[in-house]
Amino acid sequence: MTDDLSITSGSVRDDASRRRALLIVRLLVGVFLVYLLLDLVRPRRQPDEPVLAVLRQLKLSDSLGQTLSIPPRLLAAVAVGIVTGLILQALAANARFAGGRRVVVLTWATMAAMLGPFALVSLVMLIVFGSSLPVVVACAASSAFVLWLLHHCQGFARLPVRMLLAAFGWGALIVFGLSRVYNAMALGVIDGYLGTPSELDMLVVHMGVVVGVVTVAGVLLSLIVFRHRVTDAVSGLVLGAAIGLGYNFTESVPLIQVYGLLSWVTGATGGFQYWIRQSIGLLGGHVTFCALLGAAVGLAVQTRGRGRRVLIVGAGLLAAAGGSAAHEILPAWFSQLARQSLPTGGPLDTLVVSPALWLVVQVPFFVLVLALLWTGVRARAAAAREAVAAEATVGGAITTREVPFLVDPALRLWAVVSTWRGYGRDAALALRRVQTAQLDLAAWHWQHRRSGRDEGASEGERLRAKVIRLKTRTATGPAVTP
Amino acid sequence: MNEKNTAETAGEVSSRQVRLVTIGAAFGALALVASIVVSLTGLSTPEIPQFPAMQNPLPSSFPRNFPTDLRIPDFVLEKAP
Repeated sequence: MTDDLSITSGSVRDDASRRRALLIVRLLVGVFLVYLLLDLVRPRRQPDEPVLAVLRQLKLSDSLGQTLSIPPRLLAAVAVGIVTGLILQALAANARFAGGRRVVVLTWATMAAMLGPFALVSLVMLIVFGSSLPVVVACAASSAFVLWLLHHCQGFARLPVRMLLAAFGWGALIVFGLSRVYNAMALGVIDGYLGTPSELDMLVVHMGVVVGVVTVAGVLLSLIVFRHRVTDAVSGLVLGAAIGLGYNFTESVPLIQVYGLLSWVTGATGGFQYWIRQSIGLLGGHVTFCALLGAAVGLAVQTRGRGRRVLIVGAGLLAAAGGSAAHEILPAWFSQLARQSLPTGGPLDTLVVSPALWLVVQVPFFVLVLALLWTGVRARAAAAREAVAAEATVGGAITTREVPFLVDPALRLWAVVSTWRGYGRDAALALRRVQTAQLDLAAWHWQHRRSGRDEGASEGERLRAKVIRLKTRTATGPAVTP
Repeated sequence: MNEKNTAETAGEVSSRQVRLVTIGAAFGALALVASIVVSLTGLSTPEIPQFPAMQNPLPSSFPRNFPTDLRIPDFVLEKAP
């Protein structure tokens, strides 16, 4: 695993990166302010409506009310966060106050101040419904399994685990919180301007678009923060999937419990929701749609021409938003059609019919994601062969004898197992560490050349030094070179 | 030569992946249109069951002395401070 600390700490150090990161945050906050304005000037349909429809509190039980309403204190926190962010930006713009590293800290603080309050929405939701520990633990376990899958499906040049966790956190806290606030405000706006009887369904369509847009923002921020790591469709796909997984986690915890409470009305129990959302459909839904969107962003990164980039990201957004809306709306219709000829509530319905009706919309998108992953991983395998050979010509860290072992996963495993049998566990683990460091170095070589940036050469030197250090340490022990 | 081949391969992979994303966009557009049509026509709205209306006024035979009524026995009230 490559240590990315140096990359992360210097990620927003240059002006261009800082401006781009702040622009994304300002746009997200700007959308919030536009909703606020639309809510403020909306046509009133009833005489005693509050100034802001988003402040309308539902008179339900405590937990249910907190799920469906936005507390006024939270909106106050958002306002305080925006003002704090503006003050911090004013300080960062002051050359006398913000010099050197301080401007980087101020940039991070601005982003935290402006987006932090939206994360509170998700945190409140998890705290209110997190009282049922088994539900949280069960959802966390299934999410951890998918994160493990995402880490291992990348083949060559895997993203660091901390990057996956950051993407998961962005999805769980920011995407969920922001999209819930946007949606709560959109409810009042749609009701005021359109007053359509299908406003809840329109809201689902709106939610699909909003989740897509905030996911794009997350992948773009990862692109800025982790620089040369997001270089192809696979890296974007994995980041997008991790963001969708995080969103799915925060959404599942309350929904499983709310459906558990209302099962006498809806007929669907909390257990059934866990089965649908966190078991059979865990890789579908938001994970699939955000993966498709992330892959589009990853592809756009390696494409020349701004217009073409925008088209590719737009195509990904259309795919994700359309799929997301359809997977919430169309299964309800399919279900009504199926109910006319199939019995409900039995084992066949629970285990086969209902999941099939829910998943049928997602299947084409899931197949596309698998195809994107497959083509991307194959391209990475070819890139690995070239990058390892190229690094061997530099000499020192990778020798020509090691090249066939490094480019072939089966040979690598055989070398580790043979070393274990011949020299013991410690020697095998040491060899494994050397191989991992060598592959990290080759991955850096590939990503560095692909990103087309001159910066980051010191990272390559650090990785070469790490390989030589590990080899030296291994050489002082038993001989393990295959 | 090798680098040139790899670059060509990478270009082919990219265009294949762009095609896949475009197909995804077409699916997404279809799905979005279908969702909006289903929403606006109310096809996905569940049918609300018809509840029987309560007679008004209540019939004289309707029981008014339910066993769950709170009736505090007299001896409890006498002992109360």
